[in-house]
Amino acid sequence: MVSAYAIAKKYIFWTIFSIVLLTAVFSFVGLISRIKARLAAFPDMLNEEIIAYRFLLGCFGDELGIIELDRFTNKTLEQCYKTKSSKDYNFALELVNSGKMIVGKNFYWKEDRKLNFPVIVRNGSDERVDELIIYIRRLI
Amino acid sequence: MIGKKGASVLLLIFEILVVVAVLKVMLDFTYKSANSESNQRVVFARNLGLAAEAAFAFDGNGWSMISIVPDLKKYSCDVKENMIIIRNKNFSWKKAEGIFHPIGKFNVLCPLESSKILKYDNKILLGLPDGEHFRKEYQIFTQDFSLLGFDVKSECDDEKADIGRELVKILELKGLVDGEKQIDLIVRCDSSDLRLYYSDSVELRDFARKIANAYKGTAYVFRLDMGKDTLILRYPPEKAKDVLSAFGDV
Repeated sequence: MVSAYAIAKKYIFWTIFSIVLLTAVFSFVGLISRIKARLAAFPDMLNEEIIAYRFLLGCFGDELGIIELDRFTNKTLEQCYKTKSSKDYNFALELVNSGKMIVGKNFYWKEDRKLNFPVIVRNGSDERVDELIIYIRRLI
Repeated sequence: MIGKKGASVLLLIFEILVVVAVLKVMLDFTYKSANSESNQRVVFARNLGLAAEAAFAFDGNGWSMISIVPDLKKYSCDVKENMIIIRNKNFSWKKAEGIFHPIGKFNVLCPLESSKILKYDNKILLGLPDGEHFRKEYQIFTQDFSLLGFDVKSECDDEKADIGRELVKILELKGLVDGEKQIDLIVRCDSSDLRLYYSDSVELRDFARKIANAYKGTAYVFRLDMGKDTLILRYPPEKAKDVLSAFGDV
């Protein structure tokens, strides 16, 4: 006859074994999905830089590195780069010498990274050398 | 007979083998999973999303192209708002998405028949078909080329591809040899696509543009800063007949 102790011991063993096995399986599946996600993801620095380059061409001027001051507005920024929430890369732009700054709708201080570019600011017929700082806020 | 000690050693070896076998299976599974079609599809879709994103920052006045490396036969592509959707052609429910941030005036399209990306005329084409299907149409302002008189000079080394003589005949037939404005037409068969370089003259520019539009493949027109009126014609040797027929159509 099998003792109650032996039966209990068996139950405890299989319970613990099942928990360990399930944990191992779930961890493995999680690990695989993490590996897959990492393989398909781009580094933040690449993504944000590629997006940021549009601000040098096409958004605020039609030539590379030339910014039309009257187009350097929050409205243009919104048209040029639409974000729905802070779960996206968000940008704020500053023209140092012109003392003008525009901030994206979902940009919350403080920035995660700053990019500096030399630009020419055109104000009517007047052209001046300036520095464009692009403040980047990564996904929150 | 195996003793108690021998049995425990054998058991230990067996356990180690089991652990090694399990690890091997796990590693194989991970490797297969990383190289699976689903993962490749996701990578492809995200690459295209990023390529579209990058294309917004390209200068769109010319033909800007970059290469991507997918197995295009397997996939179909749709663009919806800010999303590129890649579907496996055989299993349409298997899809992946690549996100980009559109700029109002630009239209992102993905014909996805070859492996090039092109930005022009407010369009970004992902997976552009070969030149034959997508050609730039040049605007023409002048239709009267009667003033032009071409003096053909061939610099093509390949005899079979040299269209110099045939070109003279075509130009004679069109009355474009004894014109008031003498132009050196230099023929070279050393290009991968049709390239026409013209020196500064509106008639000559439009004549070059007209040939470029009539040509069945990819053609580019460039301006040259040269004193004398010149038209340089560069073309791929295998496309000699197409170039001739473009001249015939003008």
